[in-house]
Amino acid sequence: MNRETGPDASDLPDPEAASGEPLSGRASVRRPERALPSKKHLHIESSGQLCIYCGACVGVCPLNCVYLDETRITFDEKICTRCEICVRACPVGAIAID
Amino acid sequence: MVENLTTDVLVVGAGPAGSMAAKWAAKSGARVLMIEKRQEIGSPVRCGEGMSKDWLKEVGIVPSNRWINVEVEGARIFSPSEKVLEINEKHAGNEVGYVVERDAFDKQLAIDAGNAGVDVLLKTAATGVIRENGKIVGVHAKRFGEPFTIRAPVTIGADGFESQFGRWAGLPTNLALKDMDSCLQYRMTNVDCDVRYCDFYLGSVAPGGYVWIFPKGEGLANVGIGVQLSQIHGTAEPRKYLDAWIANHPAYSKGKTIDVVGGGVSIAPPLKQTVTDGVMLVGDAARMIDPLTGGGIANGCIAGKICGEVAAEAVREKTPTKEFFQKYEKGWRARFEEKLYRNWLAKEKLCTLSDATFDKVVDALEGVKLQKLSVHNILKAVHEKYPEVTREFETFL
Ligand SMILES: Cc1cc2nc3c(=O)[nH]c(=O)nc-3n(C[C@H](O)[C@H](O)[C@H](O)COP(=O)(O)OP(=O)(O)OC[C@H]3O[C@@H](n4cnc5c(N)ncnc54)[C@H](O)[C@@H]3O)c2cc1C
Ligand code: SF4
Ligand code: SF4
Repeated sequence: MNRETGPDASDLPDPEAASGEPLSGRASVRRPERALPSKKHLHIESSGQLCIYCGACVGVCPLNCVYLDETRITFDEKICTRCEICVRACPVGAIAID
Repeated sequence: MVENLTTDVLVVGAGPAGSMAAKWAAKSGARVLMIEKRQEIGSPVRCGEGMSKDWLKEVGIVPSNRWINVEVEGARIFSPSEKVLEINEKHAGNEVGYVVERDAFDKQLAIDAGNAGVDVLLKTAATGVIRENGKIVGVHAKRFGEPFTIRAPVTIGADGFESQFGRWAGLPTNLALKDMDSCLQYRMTNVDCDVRYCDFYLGSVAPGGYVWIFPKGEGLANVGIGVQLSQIHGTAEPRKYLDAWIANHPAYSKGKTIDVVGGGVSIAPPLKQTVTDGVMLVGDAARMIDPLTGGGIANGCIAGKICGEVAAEAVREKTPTKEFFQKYEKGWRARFEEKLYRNWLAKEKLCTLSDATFDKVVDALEGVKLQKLSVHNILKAVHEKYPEVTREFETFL
């Protein structure tokens, strides 16, 4: 357990179990565990130009690895599986994984 | 260097649930510290600002023109082909009441807490929990960016929808995709809306959710949307749905947006567990939002009061344990758990309805004067006109 940022990934249920259902649907949405090896090298970022600091991404992340300071979103990229749940939850489309 | 602190009861988050818990803990004799990561309580607003009013007295909130914009008479529900079901306040069981100025409301609750003796620290974020012998005994925090610790036998997690605290404490608060909504709202001026009603538009305009218009008076209104996360497949979909809806509505397409509000809303069944040793969760952090209406202010405040009182008692008795906190767990459940669960079941069903079915349901109810608005009475009225529709709802009859 990292005290500064709370539990690390090993303390938490796997995102599939956590979100309670498979992420079926369009091709762009993958099951979190499948995203693990293939996408972890990708960069995840919230655009300051689009973000309205609403905190939706923080609440939906099954791995609890998004942080909102008043006007800054950061991701713990070591924990993030690039499952894209936050990307879908962002009401204004501010989060990009590429 | 920021000094490390100790207190009896620590409240993380100064939203309505946090301020309520803090105030009642202090009134019950505890030393209380409430921390809030923002620089200003209540701002930015993340709310449609509609709330019922029958519960205010129970928790000791005095209605004031400092935070009430308008008092509405009822709600109108619009089906996809815009058939209208009008629900006046008596029938609505007080589901509607005031449209408020949420930032002023939140500040008033924090003022009430302060007046009851609660210490408040702004620009102070919890960043993790302190665990000793498996028990949580406080938090790691940052104040103006500087790390320090706060130790307390009781910590109350009131950190809202974005809550990280519950998960740090090991409580299972993660949500299924179908149990959350992504929301966006514009505060618009120059709109011609009826200040007597809160309006709701159902159907494919907002998959798994609805579009709302809550009037704030003088041509001002909150026009917002919630979309079920399991029905979102691309990016920025809530914004696209809302913009499309507004473009199709002459009264609103002339409106000028002066504020953009976003956020997540849980539409989940009640959590199985909201307490553990040294910890209680309250409000959105405990997923207490009504899954049918998306309203969370009332439940957060009602549970907040119970939570604060139990926290003070635990400090007095030196029993900040999971077992002792059952008093809170049982208390809030007795008050509204069943309604949460029933409304979650109803939401599960509503999310699956087609536009044609919504039209039939609302059509069947148009003009019918229901004695009391309940799921049972609605279904009975629908059954008389469209028996085939109610077959899907047999479990509710
Ligand atoms: C778009 C939208 C519309 C809504 N419309 C309505 C409505 O019309 N009626 C209604 O009843 N409900 C509505 N809701 C729900 C309602 O806003 C919430 O239920 C309510 O705010 C819950 O109060 P709370 O005190 O639990 O959490 P919040 O009001 O979210 O307060 C949590 C506080 O904790 C702080 N915090 C978070 N993390 C930390 C940390 N680590 N350290 C310190 N502080 C922290 C936050 O900054 C925040 O101030 C809406 C929600 C949204 C998103
Ligand atoms: S992609 Fe988003 S939701 Fe998924 S793990 Fe990463 S930060 Fe969390
Ligand atoms: S959900 Fe989107 S807009 Fe909201 S805080 Fe996260 S990145 Fe910003």
